[in-house]
Amino acid sequence: MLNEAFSALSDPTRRAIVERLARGPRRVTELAEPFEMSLAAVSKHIQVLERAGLVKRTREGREHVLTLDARPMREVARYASKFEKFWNERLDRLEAFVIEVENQKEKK
Amino acid sequence: MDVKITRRIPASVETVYRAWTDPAQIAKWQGGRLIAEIAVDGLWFWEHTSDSGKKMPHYGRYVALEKNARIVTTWMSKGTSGLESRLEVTLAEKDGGTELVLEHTGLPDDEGGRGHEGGWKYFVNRIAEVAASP
Repeated sequence: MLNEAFSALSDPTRRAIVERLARGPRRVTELAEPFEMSLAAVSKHIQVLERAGLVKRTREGREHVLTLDARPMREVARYASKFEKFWNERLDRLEAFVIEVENQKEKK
Repeated sequence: MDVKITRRIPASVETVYRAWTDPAQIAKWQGGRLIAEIAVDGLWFWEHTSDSGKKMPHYGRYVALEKNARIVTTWMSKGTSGLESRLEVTLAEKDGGTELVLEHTGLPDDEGGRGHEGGWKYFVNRIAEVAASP
């Protein structure tokens, strides 16, 4: 799911769509307005985002409403925090070690 | 994906640099088993056992060694899924101690080992905003 989310966001138009949806749900027609491309082309981009799990579609009468799903983003954040945790633990050990080294030196 | 950590360490840059570049000292704080040739283009292998008892091998090559100032090495492990990531540690003297900046860059964005740098940075910048909205 993460891979799909990343490749979906490699496209600037799709990033712009996600950015607009981050501010709140939008109707498809409303979402397509600022883009200089056909509604069909925008719809294709939206489909890529839906497949990546980033966008959910609901129906309100004849209108399709799109909502951003932040879950794939949280997964990414968790992955990043694994490396941060690793280095923070290592640096704790480094710090304890170098303080000990300097204390030993002072004693001599 | 990048990780950047800045730390103030109450020890001299000389002591901190030695802790990173003397194999006997590295082994003391890193734990595990280390084989290293501390020289530019020198190779290192480090293996430690995770909390869950799994062996975690890491290996790389020193790219730059500037005494009391900077260490750059490549870094490969299960965590990088075969990608060659880059670890840079810079040291600067500050108020009698050391300011250490650790940057681990070129990490894969996911378990599949692919890097999607642009997407990752974009994501990170947006996470707070999106997570904060109901």
